[in-house]
Amino acid sequence: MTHNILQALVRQEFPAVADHPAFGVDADIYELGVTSLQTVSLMLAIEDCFGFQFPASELSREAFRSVNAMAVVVDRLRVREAAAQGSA
Amino acid sequence: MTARGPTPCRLGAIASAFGESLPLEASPALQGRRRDLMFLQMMGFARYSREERGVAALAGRALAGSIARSGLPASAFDAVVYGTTTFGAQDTASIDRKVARALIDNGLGHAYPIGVFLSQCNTLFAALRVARGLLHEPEVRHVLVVVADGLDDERTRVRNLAMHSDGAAACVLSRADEGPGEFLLHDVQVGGHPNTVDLIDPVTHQFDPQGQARYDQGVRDIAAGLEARSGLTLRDCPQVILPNYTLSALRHLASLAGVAFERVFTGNVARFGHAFSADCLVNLADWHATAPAPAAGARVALLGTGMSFWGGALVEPLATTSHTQQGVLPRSP
Repeated sequence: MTHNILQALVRQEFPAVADHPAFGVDADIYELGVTSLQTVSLMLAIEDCFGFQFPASELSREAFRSVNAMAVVVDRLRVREAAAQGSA
Repeated sequence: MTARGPTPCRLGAIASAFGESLPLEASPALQGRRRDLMFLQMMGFARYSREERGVAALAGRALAGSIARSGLPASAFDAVVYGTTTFGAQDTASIDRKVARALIDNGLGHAYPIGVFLSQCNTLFAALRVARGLLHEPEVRHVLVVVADGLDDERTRVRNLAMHSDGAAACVLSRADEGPGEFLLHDVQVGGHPNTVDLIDPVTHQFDPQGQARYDQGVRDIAAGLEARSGLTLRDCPQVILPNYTLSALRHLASLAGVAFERVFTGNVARFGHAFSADCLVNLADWHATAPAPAAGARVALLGTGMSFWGGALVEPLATTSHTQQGVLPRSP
């Protein structure tokens, strides 16, 4: 589920990367031509889509290297967000 | 431009001074700019330093720390090489008086001040070169070098893809046989290609391709020059000291110099970001204070850049010591 959404967001932000034959959940998006600066657009799209803000501690180049890597962070933050809302 | 010293000199008694340590989120330059904030955080920046008392005050505090660290009386210093690239509105009209105050307050009224100010963030290497040259004068035995920079306009704190800090660093250069230095300075080189065009567009953050090519070649030339004159290769250096740029930029610089990124000291990127020309001295001291002692005779490479200036140095650690620091910046973990 998370992976599908993230793949769609990568396609939305970087169509050429998503169309690359090597693109997949394990593909290194930096090797496919995405720069660190461009990655921020993807981060913002993920925030808009999932309704949370990345804390600074989660913002690393490695965390956005692949869809799989992003999914780990996103799922962790979703759990944390749900817990915070449950306790509120 | 290169220079060869007849003998190495000593470099040591490194001290630094910073202002108030603040999180990136506190910067007026980043208000309403989440995209830039996220980029900087992803690139390793976390805090910055703001000093409201001016650049010369920072310099004075760094000088005081260096003098104390050296164990020498203030009267032993024959000259002060003062480097800055940010006079700023509050210092432009009175820089001589403000530096004079910093010198007088530190008992350095007798030491001749020499300003170095056209090398952008490469000022340290230009200043080291001037100071090393002074040691060739028969009457000069110890020279204080201080580089100090800060910003008057908080809106300019984020530029060239880096979070800038107000900060200063000082050190002592002495003749090889009589200094307090923890390092032997074997070589220092500078190069430049003065330019009137921004290397990085402040709006689009895109590099000017010609400028980037020139910048890359400048770094390569400095690295090659250090290797040629030392007979070493930089990849053999146990540590490479760079300014506190984005982690991506540091990877790129390491690649240009032909060294593994793992050998680059990155411990201060999060701590205070890019404090102009002070970065390399502070990083050298912090690395030296925390890392295991390298093998005897090992050389540490320092590389720095401005937008259109480049510099480098090779130093040999002589002993394990720590440097003094004035300010409230939290230590690196």
